[in-house]
Amino acid sequence: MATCKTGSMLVLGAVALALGASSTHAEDVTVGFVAHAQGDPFVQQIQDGAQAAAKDFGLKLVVAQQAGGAPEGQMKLVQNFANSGAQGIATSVPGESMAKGLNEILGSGVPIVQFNLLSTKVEAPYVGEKSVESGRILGRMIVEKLGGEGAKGTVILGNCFPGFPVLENRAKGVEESLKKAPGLHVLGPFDVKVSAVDNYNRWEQLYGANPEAVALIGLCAPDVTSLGKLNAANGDKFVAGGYDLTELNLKAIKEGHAYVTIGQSAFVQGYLPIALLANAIKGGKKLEPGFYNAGSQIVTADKVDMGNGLKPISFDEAQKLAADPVATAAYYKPWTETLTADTLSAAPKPISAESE
Amino acid sequence: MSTTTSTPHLAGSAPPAVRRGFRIPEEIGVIVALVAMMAIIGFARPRFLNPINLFSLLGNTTFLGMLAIGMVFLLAIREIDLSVGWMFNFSAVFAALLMVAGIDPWLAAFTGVLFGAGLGLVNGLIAITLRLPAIIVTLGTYSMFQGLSLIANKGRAIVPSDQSSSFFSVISTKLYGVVPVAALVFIVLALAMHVVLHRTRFGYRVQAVGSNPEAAAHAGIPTAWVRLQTLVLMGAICGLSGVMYVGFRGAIDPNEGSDFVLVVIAAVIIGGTPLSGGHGTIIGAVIGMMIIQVISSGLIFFGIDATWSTFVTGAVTVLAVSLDRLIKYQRTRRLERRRETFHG
Repeated sequence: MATCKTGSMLVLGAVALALGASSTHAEDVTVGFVAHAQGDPFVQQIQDGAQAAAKDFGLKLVVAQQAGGAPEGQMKLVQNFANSGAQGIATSVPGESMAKGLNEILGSGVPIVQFNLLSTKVEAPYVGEKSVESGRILGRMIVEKLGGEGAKGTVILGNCFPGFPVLENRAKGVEESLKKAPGLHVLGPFDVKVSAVDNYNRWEQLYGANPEAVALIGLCAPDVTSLGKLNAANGDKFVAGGYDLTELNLKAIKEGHAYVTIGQSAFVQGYLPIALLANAIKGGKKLEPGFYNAGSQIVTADKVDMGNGLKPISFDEAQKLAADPVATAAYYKPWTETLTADTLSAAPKPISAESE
Repeated sequence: MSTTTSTPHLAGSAPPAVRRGFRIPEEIGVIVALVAMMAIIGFARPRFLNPINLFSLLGNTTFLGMLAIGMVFLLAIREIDLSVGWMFNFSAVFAALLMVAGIDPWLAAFTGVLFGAGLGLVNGLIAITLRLPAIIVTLGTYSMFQGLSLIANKGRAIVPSDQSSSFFSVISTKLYGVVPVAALVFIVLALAMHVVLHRTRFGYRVQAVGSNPEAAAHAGIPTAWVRLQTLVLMGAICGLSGVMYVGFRGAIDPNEGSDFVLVVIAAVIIGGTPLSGGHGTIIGAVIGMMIIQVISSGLIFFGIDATWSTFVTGAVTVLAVSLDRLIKYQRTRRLERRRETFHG
């Protein structure tokens, strides 16, 4: 009897889910969106951009995410979308081992767009920042803050995901700029982990071991927040810099505990892949492999450059946008309106441009 | 008046001779749960039952499923190995580096399996020498193997440049365009390990040590040696899974395997292997891993958003395990009632 009850519950539960899902079948075209690092505020901003594009282009967007950044788990999600009949898939590509499987899906006729994390072996377009160049910008900002080419002292570099090509490229760019000040001694990149707690602990240990450090630089979203806290706890003795325009990162900058954060246009990284897929699916066009630059944003307490030709905003406005997807979509309207069938069909730059 | 003595079946001993005939498998609960889920998803989304999707699901089960097979032996002996993901990764990196260095991929793959067994041996020797549970030892070797792998791969994916060898084509081939060869290897491994666990002296010893280590030692079973063998077996299976991954995907990334261990342990427990040891089911573990994959796939077929999927995954897993336990409970009750009727 009890078994029958449980069985019935299982059936009812699944049927309820099926019915619940059926009610959202308003649009004809379904696109899958697969991302890494579920719960990460920056990845959530990318997802918000994708949702805005789905709304603008009249697509049904289904999102699947995994907690970490392991390629196998993400590949399975992409495979499930392909098997379920999704007409297109946007995915970050956290590892080279996904390339073979993604190319097989592309070969079966399902268009794919990569975003945020790239494999150069995947024969699909990629939307992301110019990773080496953004590292150069960050490094240059830090060198200037430390006094230019005559700067001296120890700089610590942290990478939350050693091995991710985009992050390795950022590190390369940062180190390239730091070399312009021969008196700077770079330690790292050290593995500083991605979870907020681990990330802070790692930075605390690194600073504890190198209290003479004049600058601490992170390459991932949680770093600026961690470094801001650490700087506040130690009397703001070092220059802190890193990536992404999350609410907490901007708070650390506003309070003066961190100096600079480089944005990689999360909204664009979510919006543009869906726009490209919509244009290709509805227009029956094939997407060519290549690089679409999402643009870099430079944010200090004194200056906010949002990139992509967008109007300048104040620091407070940047903070508001970070917390409000609807306001962000409205702010990006002048940029989204430039995405016509013609501009979306134009040939992208070669993929090598990403790491120039 | 005569008295009848009945000898209880001891874990680890050969099963008593019983009358031949159809016996409902102990995994019936999880099998029912799996079939029910597939039927429900297939009813609502017929495309789910497309053979291409079903074999794709089986293929997705392969690499973690292999690790689950090894983990059954460990749980049966009351041990848990937390380093499986990084043994998988390090073995794959080792084999891929040999391939990059120009070693024949088949030979490199074989060496990778031996390397995995070597990592298991390291775990085993530390556990036995220091008389520590494997869970403690592997808490340390988890980071050691990860760190060494990162040193070896320099934080980058290892991609053998020449993939013209039959190793890559054989492992990644799909028979009739749908059946992955890797999945067939997984099934053969599962059947072989099922036989090893239930029909060989080593398997009986594993269950005996897990059931009651003191009694097993008194019975003359070399418990330390059996523990060592089990940990080496786990390492070898991680090595096999790792090198097959390189053959299947054509590359190994520095962070691959980082999130494997919890999924592997979950699959084994969902499948019916108890944490208390003394017993294990390979078939159950395979079904358990398939349940996890079917849930993941079903969420996408139903279009359930990522923000809900984590909750739904957990809830459906609990439902599946509940169904299994209730079926087992009913079987036990029925058996007890029959015994009472017989003795009454």
